[in-house]
Amino acid sequence: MNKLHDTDAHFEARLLAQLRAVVAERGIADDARSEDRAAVISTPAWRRRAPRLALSAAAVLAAVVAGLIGSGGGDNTSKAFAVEPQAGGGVAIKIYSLSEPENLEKALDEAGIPSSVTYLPAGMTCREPRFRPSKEGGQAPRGFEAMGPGGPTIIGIGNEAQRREFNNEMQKRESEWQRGESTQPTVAQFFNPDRFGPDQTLVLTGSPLPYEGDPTGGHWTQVQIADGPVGPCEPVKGTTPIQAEGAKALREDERENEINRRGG
Amino acid sequence: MVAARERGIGAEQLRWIGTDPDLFEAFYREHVEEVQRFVARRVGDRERAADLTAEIFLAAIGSAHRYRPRRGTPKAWLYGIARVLVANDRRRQGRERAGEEGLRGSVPLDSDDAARMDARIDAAAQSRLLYAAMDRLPEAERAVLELVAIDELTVAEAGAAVGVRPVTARVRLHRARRKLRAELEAAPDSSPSKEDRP
Repeated sequence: MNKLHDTDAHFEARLLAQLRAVVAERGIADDARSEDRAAVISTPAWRRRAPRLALSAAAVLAAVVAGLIGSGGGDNTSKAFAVEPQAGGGVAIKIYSLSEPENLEKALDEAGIPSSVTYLPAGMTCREPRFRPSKEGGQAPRGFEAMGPGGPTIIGIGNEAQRREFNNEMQKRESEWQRGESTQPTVAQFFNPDRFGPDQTLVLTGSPLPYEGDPTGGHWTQVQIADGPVGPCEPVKGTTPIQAEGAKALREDERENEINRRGG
Repeated sequence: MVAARERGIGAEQLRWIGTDPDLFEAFYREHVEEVQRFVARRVGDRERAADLTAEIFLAAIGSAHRYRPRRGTPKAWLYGIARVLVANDRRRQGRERAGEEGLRGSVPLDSDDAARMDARIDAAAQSRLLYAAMDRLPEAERAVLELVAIDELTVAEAGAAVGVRPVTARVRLHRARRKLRAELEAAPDSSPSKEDRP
């Protein structure tokens, strides 16, 4: 930041001098606003605001959760998902495709998590309300939504220490994907069985995310915590805002690809 | 203002950089290096790189009052500006540029500047090769890939820089990578021909 002081003869410093002059000239013409500006500057508002969606969207979710990954010796083999016991207790559940929901419920139950798993066709959702979403622990009303093409959804189950390890691992994976060093984006959730009340249920909903016509190209999942009983899912047409955004992006890209195909 | 220099310009102050020289200076010091690297990754000519650096900050000065924090961080906003100006420059490249008079004309490069700019441009040669290889991707996908893979923005920042939500940026990044990989595998011997002359 202070390098310019050492290199005053350099282009950057001379450009800065020129630009300062431009700004000063504009500032004189804009004096009327100076009081407002003083008010703003005196406000301790240095906190950088992240885009609101970033806190709830899948893109950031992956960096927030998860890393019981990597221990071998899974005792549950399925093409749809894998349940991998972790050293020190807990399990990592990796969902590869949206099938066998009953088996996944069973695996979660064995890990101490009562659950209700529903997989739906693309563009469908469960009619609401069918349960009361928990507000404890900062749980957002819509829970956590994760969406991505290709990679498995990972659900980690364990204690707080494992959560930290899981977070580190997932951050590493996210960075690797962002740098292009791994091919599949990963999204993840983490749950501590001790945090579940006796009447709480993990509600997992998923639907395919067709990718260039390939229905196995990816999927959307939503994880919520229910207080009290969970009613059956009555499928209706509809999407969450995040699903709608993803679908819109896919449509735009497909349209653009079509234009390119015709043009090229 | 000392605080601004030490801690960087926050979203709430950015709108004043167009009229407050001290705030602008803090912003400039915070970002000038990364702007120069951004340009060097895309432009192999030092005079053009210097012009573009000046144009990017001039555009920031001119549009700061329209900045809205909810649309992204100051960094993402600045990269958005840089991306548009570099893209415009690429489009007009080859056209007659006579008659244009940029600010940089009054900030000539001396031999020391030239050597430093060349070093920065040489260091970015690999990035420019990749950039050229991405030319055939759809613009929407390429833009996100560039910002993440070349400029090392996060997916959320890249999304803000191109005006889409993080989840959209994520989908586009994945698609861009998949297509680029397929293209490179299909034509392993092809080499980018649009590389700027160093």
